[in-house]
Amino acid sequence: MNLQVIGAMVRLRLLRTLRDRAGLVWMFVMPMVFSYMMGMLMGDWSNGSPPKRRVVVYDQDRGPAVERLLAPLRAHERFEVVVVDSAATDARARALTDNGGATAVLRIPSGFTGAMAGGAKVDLQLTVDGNRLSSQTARSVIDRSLLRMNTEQAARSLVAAPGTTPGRNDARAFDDKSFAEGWEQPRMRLQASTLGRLPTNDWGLTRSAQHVGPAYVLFFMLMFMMVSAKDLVQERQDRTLARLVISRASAFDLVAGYFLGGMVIGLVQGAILLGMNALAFGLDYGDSPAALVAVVVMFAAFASSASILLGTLARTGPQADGLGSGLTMALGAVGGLWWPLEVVPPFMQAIGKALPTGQAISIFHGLVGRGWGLGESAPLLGGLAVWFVVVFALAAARLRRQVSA
Amino acid sequence: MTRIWVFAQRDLRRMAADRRALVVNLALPLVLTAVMGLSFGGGVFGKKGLSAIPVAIVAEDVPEALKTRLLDGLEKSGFFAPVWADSLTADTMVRSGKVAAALVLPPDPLTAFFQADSLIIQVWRDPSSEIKAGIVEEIVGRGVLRVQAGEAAFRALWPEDYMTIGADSLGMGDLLEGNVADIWTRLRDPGQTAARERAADFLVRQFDHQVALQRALQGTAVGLAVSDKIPTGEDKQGESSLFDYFLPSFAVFFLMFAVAAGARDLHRERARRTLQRQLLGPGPAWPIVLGKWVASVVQGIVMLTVLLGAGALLFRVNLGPDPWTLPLVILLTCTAAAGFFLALALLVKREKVLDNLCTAVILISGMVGGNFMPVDNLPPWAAGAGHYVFNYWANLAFSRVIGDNGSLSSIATPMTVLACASVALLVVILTLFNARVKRGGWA
Repeated sequence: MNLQVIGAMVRLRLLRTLRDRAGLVWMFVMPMVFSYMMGMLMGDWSNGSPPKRRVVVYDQDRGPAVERLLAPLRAHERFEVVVVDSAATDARARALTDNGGATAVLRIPSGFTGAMAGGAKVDLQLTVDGNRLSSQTARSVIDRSLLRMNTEQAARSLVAAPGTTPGRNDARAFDDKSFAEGWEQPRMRLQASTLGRLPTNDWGLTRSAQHVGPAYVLFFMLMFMMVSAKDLVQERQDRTLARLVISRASAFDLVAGYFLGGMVIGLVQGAILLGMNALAFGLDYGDSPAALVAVVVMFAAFASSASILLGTLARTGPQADGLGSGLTMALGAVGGLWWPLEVVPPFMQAIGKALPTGQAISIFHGLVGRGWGLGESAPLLGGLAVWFVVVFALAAARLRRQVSA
Repeated sequence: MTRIWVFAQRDLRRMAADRRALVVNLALPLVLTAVMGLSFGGGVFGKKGLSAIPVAIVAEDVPEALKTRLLDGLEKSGFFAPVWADSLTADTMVRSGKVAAALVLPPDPLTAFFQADSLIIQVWRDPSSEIKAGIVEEIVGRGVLRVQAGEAAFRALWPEDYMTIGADSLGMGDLLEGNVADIWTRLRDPGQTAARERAADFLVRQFDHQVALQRALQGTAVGLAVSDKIPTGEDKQGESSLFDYFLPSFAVFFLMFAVAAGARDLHRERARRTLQRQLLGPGPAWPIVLGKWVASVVQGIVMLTVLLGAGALLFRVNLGPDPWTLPLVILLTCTAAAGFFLALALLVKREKVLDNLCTAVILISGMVGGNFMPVDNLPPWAAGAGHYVFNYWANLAFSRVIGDNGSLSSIATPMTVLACASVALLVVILTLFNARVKRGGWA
């Protein structure tokens, strides 16, 4: 083993990477752009108020009941209510929600106030887009407000008429104050709590960024390694490897040099990206630095080995490029870096969790959400280690054979 | 026309012979389409949507018959895979991720329901299960809201019967033992003591009032008809899932990569001097770039057709209400995409610059144009920027046709935008190419 040769290879790889400006953009800038944008797309970043969404109300009733119905929506911090005193067709309402002109469109027909006073039944028309969180929230707020008004109206119908003797199930009166108290301070309440590391709901994986941040760090670490496999293909084709062997480097030195070079780059990239995510978006990586370091090191080791294996398998640079991108995307998608594994069927979850990407992101979830340390992460770290050992063994064997040939 | 087609044919033949391009443009998107289809279900691989959510239920001192009925009901809903657990086991199950959430009822819930001043239903959520645990919370929350509304009305109508008084409560513990049938028999049993009679009378009044209130609530004064973009289970058009959104949006995403590779070809030909040799031939120069545009459009059409066809065959994705709407969307998407990336190619000098620029443009426009997720949560500036990228309009058209079974009339706006963009971009590439040829920029 020639440490000088290995050290020189690592140094050269690092220098070449750092001198490539476009490469640096892909290493550090794009992952952060992705983290920011995807964090917003998958939910709202907690550190900042979400944008106000417009709910358009076509009010043909113009009665006092409309204001009561809309009061909770107006008071809601996420919505801006725009009332239009005209009618709209189904197509117009759909077009408004689809084109982003409104997050939801509520059409109130004439007779709404009358219906609430015991008149003929009417239907409100609500047009929403279930794909959007804000649209679903608007629907919940309107649903709740309408439930209150309907309940009150239905209850009033059970009050005995003035001057008559109430039946067994008739009420003598409807107490507005009791109803309001019962609604605002209900006896039965729902209390939701997340059983995680910290005793608050405003933390960890309840923020989408907390999944997206580490997921895209892992994704871009793997992507950068895999697309750099074309460099190895190029060096094979240029006979650079053969020339190195003729000089002072053994096949073992070359394997070690390539592996450690890739690993150092992966570690630098991972550390900087995790740090930038923590600083820029306030991400939390749990209470165990040792487990955090272990997962990043194991993943970098796997990615570096996979890059060498791909570099020895691909015949041309573009082939390595295409296969590298494709494999990274497939590993990212199936392993739960693109969307959380909980949304996929159990068999896809099992496949995802068996992949190195799935194991790494599951460790991140455990660190952040459950406060895992090295002990709890050990089984998944072991899985990552198995992947690393297998891929490294294959990569080393192929590279040695190609170098020796 | 012949020259344009000759140039286009040559490019198409070369694309077909390039295995790497085929892998990247067809095999990779197909693999990822399969991954998405398997992830979000549907078609020949089973039911679409989320699988049943594992939930632990903690309810101490609940009659066995009620437990069984509750468990059956939750299982039959198809949303949940419930298991009974004590609070310690449920806590462990949630913390370890074995269940997405635990629903914790108060101890002795039946008595608490009639007597307690405060009744807390708890939902314990798994920290790693934001979506499924959120669904459990949402569904339980809706149920609790209905009860809250009923209680508020009850309290306003029959304040004297709202809660048991001390004397009545003495007999309640005994009365509420056993299953529902036992309680009912006991309530009607004439051999009760005075306290139990009062309690029984209280309960009978409670039940009767509840029934009267429920009947009144069934005839609500105002209904809410919801028109959701995602069809409900009763919708005759069939089920919808995230896959219906992801299939076309990812197809457009990969289309951008494929068309960008075609645009890069212009620089590659220039580097290899093939372009210069073509320019030396007789006739005007513009058929060369137009031929490339046609080749990119044809390549895109083939790619989108294969992907959407695979989606329809394997995952029963809806292909629109008639045979012409979707093909027209595909065509206009491809013409706009080909124009956009060829224009980019003509604006930069080197292939490497174009390579990086294209990848950055694809990823960023993919995000603001809604190729990865619906853009509703983006801040207004980013959502607004989405309107200036062609893929936003393509995604909109695809989602209306595939997701909503929309016809041509429902996609008039995105189709008009795509058509105008295609024409404008075609004019831009012809003008730019001719200008560069005249300046000797390609020589």
